[in-house]
Amino acid sequence: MRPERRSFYTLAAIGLFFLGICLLEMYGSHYDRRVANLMMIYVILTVSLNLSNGIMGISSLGQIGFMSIGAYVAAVLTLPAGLKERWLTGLPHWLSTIQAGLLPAMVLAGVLAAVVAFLVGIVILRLQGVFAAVATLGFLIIVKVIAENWMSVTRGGRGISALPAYTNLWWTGAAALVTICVVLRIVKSPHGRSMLAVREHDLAAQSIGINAPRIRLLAFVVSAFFTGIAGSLWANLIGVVSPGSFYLWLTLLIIIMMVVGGMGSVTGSVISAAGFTILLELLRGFENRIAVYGISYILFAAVFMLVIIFRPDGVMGDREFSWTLLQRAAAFSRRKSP
Amino acid sequence: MGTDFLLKIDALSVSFGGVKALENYRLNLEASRILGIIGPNGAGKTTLFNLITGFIRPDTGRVFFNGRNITRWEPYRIARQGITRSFQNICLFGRLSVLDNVVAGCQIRRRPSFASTLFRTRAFLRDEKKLQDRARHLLSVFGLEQQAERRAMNLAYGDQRRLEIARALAAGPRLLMIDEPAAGMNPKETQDLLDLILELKARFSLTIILIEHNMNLVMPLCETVQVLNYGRLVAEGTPAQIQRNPEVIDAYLGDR
Repeated sequence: MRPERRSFYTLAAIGLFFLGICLLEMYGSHYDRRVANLMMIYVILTVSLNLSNGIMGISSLGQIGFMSIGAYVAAVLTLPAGLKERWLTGLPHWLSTIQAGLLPAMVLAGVLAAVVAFLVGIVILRLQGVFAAVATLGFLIIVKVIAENWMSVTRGGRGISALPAYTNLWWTGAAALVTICVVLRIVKSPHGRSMLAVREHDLAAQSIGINAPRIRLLAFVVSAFFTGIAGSLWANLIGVVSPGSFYLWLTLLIIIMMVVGGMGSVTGSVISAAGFTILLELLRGFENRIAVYGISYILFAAVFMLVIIFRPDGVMGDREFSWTLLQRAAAFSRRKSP
Repeated sequence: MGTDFLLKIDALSVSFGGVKALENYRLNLEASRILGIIGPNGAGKTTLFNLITGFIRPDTGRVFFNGRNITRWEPYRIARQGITRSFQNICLFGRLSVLDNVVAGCQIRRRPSFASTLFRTRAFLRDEKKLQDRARHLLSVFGLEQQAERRAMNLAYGDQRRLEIARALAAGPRLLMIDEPAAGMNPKETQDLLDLILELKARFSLTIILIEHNMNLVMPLCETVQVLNYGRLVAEGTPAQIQRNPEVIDAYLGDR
């Protein structure tokens, strides 16, 4: 397929995507919009997790810690000034008298998460495999404990509520698109090639001049940046942040989404995150109807296991969706059907 | 110091938990030479490679490359100075394509800034194209161009060995270090490899250090041969001298 044709299809798909957002924002119910927003946030989380864990091969379990940091940054920035003065007594005066909009909150959430990832990464990324997994899990626990106990800034276990509902589909959709685009561009560049090389064989990569610790840190920091942004969007969508929200359940959920989509496949992560968001909502509806509570999670886990049994590398493996692939698949199915 | 030689090594020693893996090793290697290193298993040959390329740090001794002291440098910096290697136990980027294995080597020189990666500038696309072209050219030298899109791990054994060398060469070394390239190859493949190494040396004006057990490769290729045994340099000379050296015969065949 000619490149012009491919970019035409891509632009058309992006156009349709924003048309969909436009329609949902105008005609969708509150519930529809909420699910769509969550879907976009999960896409951001899964794609950025895939950058650090799938593409770079860091066994990180601490990703949601960066989301927590992003969410709290956004909460502290966007909470109305009056409430800040009452609840968050530890804030400096200049901070407690302002209320930021979503854009500055998002940017700062991402930047702060990235800065923390940089500092944490210098220490933790010396470790690999299961050691890195344990150390990053430790990071997640530390973030949660700080959020629970730094009463004067995070309001502890009660959490920060009454956040303005700034988040809408325009923001989440655009953020998801930027995340996907940036991660894809990194993958298809010398930076991405270095990441894959280091993932495949650390020493061999160094033997051809790749600075392995540096490229690992880059993947970790970029991943944390977008995860922090997802946190800020989440905070201003749900309206409440509390320490327990950013813990093991979300950690597991995005790992499952990444694995099912295919570790190393950005488009796989998108498909999987979108699919699982819808699946979870359908199962929740089913659960309410038959009133067997908890069944949705059992079925969710069953779907996960089935995929792993029949497609151990996930839906996409480490390949990316492309229009050429779609064309080939269409030609193949035409040949098969009479 | 050491400006006359491309690679100069003084009194290099390393021991692992009391075992002297390499002891008081020295080398003066001029540019455009092929040096062979032979010796029984466990003699310290691969340890020497790891020391020169920075994967192991020596206890004592110094390594000069091109007049610069590179002792204790990080491996990636040594590679950027112009020393690259292949590995005895094949260490390819298994799930990457054959082409990407080589492109990863090629990109050692022109690495784009992170910003140009994000914004896909015209210069970025042009450089990326150049990398791909150079890598394809290299693959054709190695006769691997038909396999470019396959995953490296799916290649035949001999092709994997050659891809190792192609990747090392892609990083544009002045000194290429090859660790047992003929291991597991039949006489025909060994002969082809010999021709290939000579062609590479001429085409890319390389200096080469070769570890090899197969004398059919070492003797015709190398101008100088060093013999290691129990971590010590026991002999050095032309292939003909080495073949007559009683210590070498001892090392390989045991005391008579």
